[in-house]
Amino acid sequence: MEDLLGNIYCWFESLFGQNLAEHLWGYNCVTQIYDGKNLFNSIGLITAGVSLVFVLAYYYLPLYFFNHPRSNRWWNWLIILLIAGIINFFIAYGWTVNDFLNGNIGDCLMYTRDEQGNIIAQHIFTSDCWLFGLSNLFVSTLFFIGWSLVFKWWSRNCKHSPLF
Amino acid sequence: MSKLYVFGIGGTGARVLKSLTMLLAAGVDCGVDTIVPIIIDRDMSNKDLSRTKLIIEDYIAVNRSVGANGKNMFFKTKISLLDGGLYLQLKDNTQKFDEFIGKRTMTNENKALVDMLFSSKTLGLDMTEGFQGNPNIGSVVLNQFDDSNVFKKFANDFKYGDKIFIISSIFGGTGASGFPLLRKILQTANVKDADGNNLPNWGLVNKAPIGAISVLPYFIVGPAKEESQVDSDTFIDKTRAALSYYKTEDKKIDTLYYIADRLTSTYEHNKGGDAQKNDAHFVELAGALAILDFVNPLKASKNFLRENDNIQQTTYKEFAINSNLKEFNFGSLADETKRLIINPLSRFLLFSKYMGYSVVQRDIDGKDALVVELIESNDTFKKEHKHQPYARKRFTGEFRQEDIIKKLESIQSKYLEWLLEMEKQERKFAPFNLMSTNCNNYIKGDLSVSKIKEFPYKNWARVDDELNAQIRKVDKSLNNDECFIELFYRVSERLINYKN
Repeated sequence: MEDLLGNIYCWFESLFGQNLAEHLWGYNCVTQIYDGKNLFNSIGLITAGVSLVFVLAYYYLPLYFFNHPRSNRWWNWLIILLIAGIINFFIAYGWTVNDFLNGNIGDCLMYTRDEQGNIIAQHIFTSDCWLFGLSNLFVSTLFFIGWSLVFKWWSRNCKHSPLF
Repeated sequence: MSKLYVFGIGGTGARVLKSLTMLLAAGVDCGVDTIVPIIIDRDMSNKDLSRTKLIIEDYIAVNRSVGANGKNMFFKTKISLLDGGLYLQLKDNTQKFDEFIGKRTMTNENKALVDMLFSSKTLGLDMTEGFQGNPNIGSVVLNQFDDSNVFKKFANDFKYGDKIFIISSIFGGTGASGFPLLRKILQTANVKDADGNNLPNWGLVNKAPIGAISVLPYFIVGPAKEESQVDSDTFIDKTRAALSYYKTEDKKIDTLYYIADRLTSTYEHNKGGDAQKNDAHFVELAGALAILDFVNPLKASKNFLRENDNIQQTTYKEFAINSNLKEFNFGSLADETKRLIINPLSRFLLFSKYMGYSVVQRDIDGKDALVVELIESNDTFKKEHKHQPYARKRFTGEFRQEDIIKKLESIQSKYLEWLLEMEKQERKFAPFNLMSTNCNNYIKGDLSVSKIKEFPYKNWARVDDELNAQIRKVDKSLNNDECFIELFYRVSERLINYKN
């Protein structure tokens, strides 16, 4: 079960690359085992939480744009989904770019070096962090849809949004 | 299951019945289960009469679709017709008065006597348009009440505990003459039908609690466009003469209501027929309130002063407003009246406005006029029913084309017209901002009626929010029409709640 979130993120691994994925799985270049923190779980739980907060707000918070008789159209739901997704996008980007800039990503994952220790190839770039953010937006969307299917039925004004 | 038989005599009778129907549609509390309206008028083509007939027929259809077990009060009181008919059919429908009395076959002496009693104009009067303000001929023609077959259906239907109420005006022809004649026949013992058999239940009719309202002048008519015998200048004299005769009704009626208004509106002069279409007036609404007062169980000790079924004393009642204003609203009504009508009238208007019925200004024949129309941009139901949970799989598709809903909306449209007409009178009853499209400010005066708050939902969104909330509480076994009316009543009850 503890690998569940990681496995979901790995559906989008081709976007952000295997090396960043290894870092997020908690790979330790020194011990050469996965004894680091599984960041997929940390980021995934935050993503799930943010999506849940927005889903609950949309279906139950009596404010304009949330649980409101004029906000129960499918496009209102889509806008909330995108807002949650963008927040999660930046959470994922921020987390990974922070590791990237602070050197928290293992050297063996970042570079390929020759025998003298010179860098002959770099495997992780900031663009991979952006793409991981995009991947997290997709995961956020999955969570948002899932939470919506769970919680929509008891909403006063939005129970039929976006569908059913 | 007690019934109240309401005899509406003449044009005023029809208009008071219309007001009563509007009050019942709005859900004003009524002390009997069923109202049986019976209209007595020679002028069957009278527009006031046909308007009342349409409203009553629509009401009856909608009433059948009101669930018996819910909280709903809209259309709650049953209106039923005697054998499906609204009119008391008089046997003789001879058109000319001289033909009716058989002048042609009279002896010369009798002809001379008739010529002395009635003018040639009166003798040649075409009675298909009523008695045109001539109670003297009304009292002759309406003696057909003595033809007992007229009352056969009524007697058959009458049960112990039922009551009788008579509405008439005192300053015209039909009402002024019809009221005492009708009262007399209803209290005549052992009336027999045409075959010589006693009318069934007639003993119960004789002893039944009986009330009446006599409407004194509250309008005058303008100059006549064609030959007419209706003359406003005679209204007061006729009233005085009739009142002196009505003294003899003391102890024959349980409760007798009087109402009048010295600030008279001037109506277009039409002697009757299709052209007689008078705007609704607050006096007619007050007349309808008299009917509700008469059957109010809490008033029984004052309304029925009887001993061994004999009337010991007639209770006389009048209606007044708190201040002599040309334009007044709920604030000028007595507390008792406020308690009775503010919530129902406001709630039904909220419902009607939600369905898009609006008062708008239009150019009619070069003049600005206020009219009632279904305005698409104000039709919240049309705009929202596809999106709101309360309507989903219930009130979508062809729902609005269903016969009952069309009739309901027809009454809603006429309800606004009725309110608008009362605003057009010389003494204006204007409790609502009828042109307002905002559900927060359509009730005039500082009465703390509306519970509609601006936060978190504004305007009609608040109503939709409450509709979505209340749909969960509506009995699932109700059919769509029943559910629709029950739901809107519950919502309007939550949002409009005047407590005095």
